[in-house]
Amino acid sequence: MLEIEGRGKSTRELNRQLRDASQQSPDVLLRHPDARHNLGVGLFRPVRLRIEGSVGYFGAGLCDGPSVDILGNAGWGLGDNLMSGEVLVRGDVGAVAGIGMRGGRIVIQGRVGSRMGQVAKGGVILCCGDAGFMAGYLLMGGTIVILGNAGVGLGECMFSGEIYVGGHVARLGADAVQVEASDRDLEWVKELLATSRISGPSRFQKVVSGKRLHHVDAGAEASPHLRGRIMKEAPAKS
Amino acid sequence: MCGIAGIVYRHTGPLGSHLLAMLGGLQHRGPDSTGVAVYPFRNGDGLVARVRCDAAAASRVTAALKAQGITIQTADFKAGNLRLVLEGGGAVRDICRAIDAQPGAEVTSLGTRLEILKEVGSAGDLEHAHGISSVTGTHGIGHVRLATESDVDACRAHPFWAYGYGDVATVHNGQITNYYKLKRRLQARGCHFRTDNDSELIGTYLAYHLSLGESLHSALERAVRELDGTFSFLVSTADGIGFAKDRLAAKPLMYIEREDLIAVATEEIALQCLFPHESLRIVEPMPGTLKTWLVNELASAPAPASSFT
Repeated sequence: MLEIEGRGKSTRELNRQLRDASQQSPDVLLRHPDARHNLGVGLFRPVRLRIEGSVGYFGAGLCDGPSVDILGNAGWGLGDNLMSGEVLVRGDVGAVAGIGMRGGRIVIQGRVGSRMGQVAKGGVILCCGDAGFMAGYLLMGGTIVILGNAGVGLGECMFSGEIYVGGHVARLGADAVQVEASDRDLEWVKELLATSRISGPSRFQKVVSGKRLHHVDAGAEASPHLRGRIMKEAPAKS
Repeated sequence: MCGIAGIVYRHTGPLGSHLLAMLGGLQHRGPDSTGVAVYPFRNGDGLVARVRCDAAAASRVTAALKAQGITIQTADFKAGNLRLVLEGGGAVRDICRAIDAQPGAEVTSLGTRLEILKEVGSAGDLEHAHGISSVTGTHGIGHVRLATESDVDACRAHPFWAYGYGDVATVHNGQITNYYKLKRRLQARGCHFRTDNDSELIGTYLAYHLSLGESLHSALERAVRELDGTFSFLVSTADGIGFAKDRLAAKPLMYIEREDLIAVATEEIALQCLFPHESLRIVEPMPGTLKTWLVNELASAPAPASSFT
């Protein structure tokens, strides 16, 4: 286990030390993160990084492969653009957790702020507490699981992906629709909880995109308001 | 961006050094100016005025007040700031007017306990100029500014005093987009504004409604309903502090409640600066919410569990 002291170093220096340590040891410990921003950014090795405290904004961002265990809270933009690996937060997390993530898994044991999983394209976010408004905003892929309650605008304008909610949904967002969760879906969630060593409800509401907002179906008939206004042939080029 | 911080003690505490520590931790959110509004302990019931001026203007101010029959108990001039303790009561607006009529003088704060100190630069610059760290008291608020809405100068630095209303101050992170509409409405009701800064509106808006007999809590509820834009702000009065967040929580704010104190700040990093060796139980309030902590109520209320590990 390589230990790194967080105090008395610039963020750039600290991140460089973390990256160097991730090349040398499978286990790294960061002491005294003191809720600073941009910690544990740009780790590309399958290192197990344990952060003894809270991190600020963009913690464990731009990572591909590490397992980051944050013993405190995390600020906005946790796991920004995560490609693969795992981020576990023992406390609460601010807004836009898992923004733009492509893969991997983020597990939040506490509550989370607004717009969790915004524009995510893949991966899994598991929130054990309540989630703020517009979780899954513009979600493009991947899965969000909320064991607690979800705030208003759940799945607002989502393109694709799935959201499961164990608690109460305050209100669905535009073009988000509730569908029945199949046995296979529930089995998948159960497995996620089991592998995350977390117990949760057995019933979940499933929310997906209604596919009326962003989706183009080239073979379908035009929307009624466009009928009669579409040109039959492209105008000849002059 | 901007960063805000506030602290209330269940009894009393090292207000100045705590506020400076939190503002130092938030400085990355705003390097333009730094300021605090503090409520130190005082004996006597006279008014305390803080006036930004040079030495010559300070003499003119004291002479003008004496000419109006106002007794000055003490007058200390230091680092471009005149601190006056005035005997007895008196109408806050009349005293303001008498001071501001002197060229080169500008009232920064006036009240039975409120004192606002703010300067262009960092928390370190503020400490260097005014020696805030030795101040003890019951509560206070502070601000680091990244200017977006008006010039960078000491006048437009936060905290803003609610001009003409004793003891009310605010710090704000965000933008008030119906500023002109509400400012005109308040001006029509007799309120005065010193700057073209949207944040100044908040304190005056709240103080106006407090002056009509509303509680701090209901004035904050009104603010969440009527103020448009992005905001997390803190307000302080002689009785305590409160916060309000806009309905989209566009600006962060969080707090800790401990046995000895309540601290509230834009980022956890500021709270960690107060308790660097502890794991803190931090609460981030929901969008569109508000809360007040009043000194008298805190002193008698049971304290919550302080922290967890």
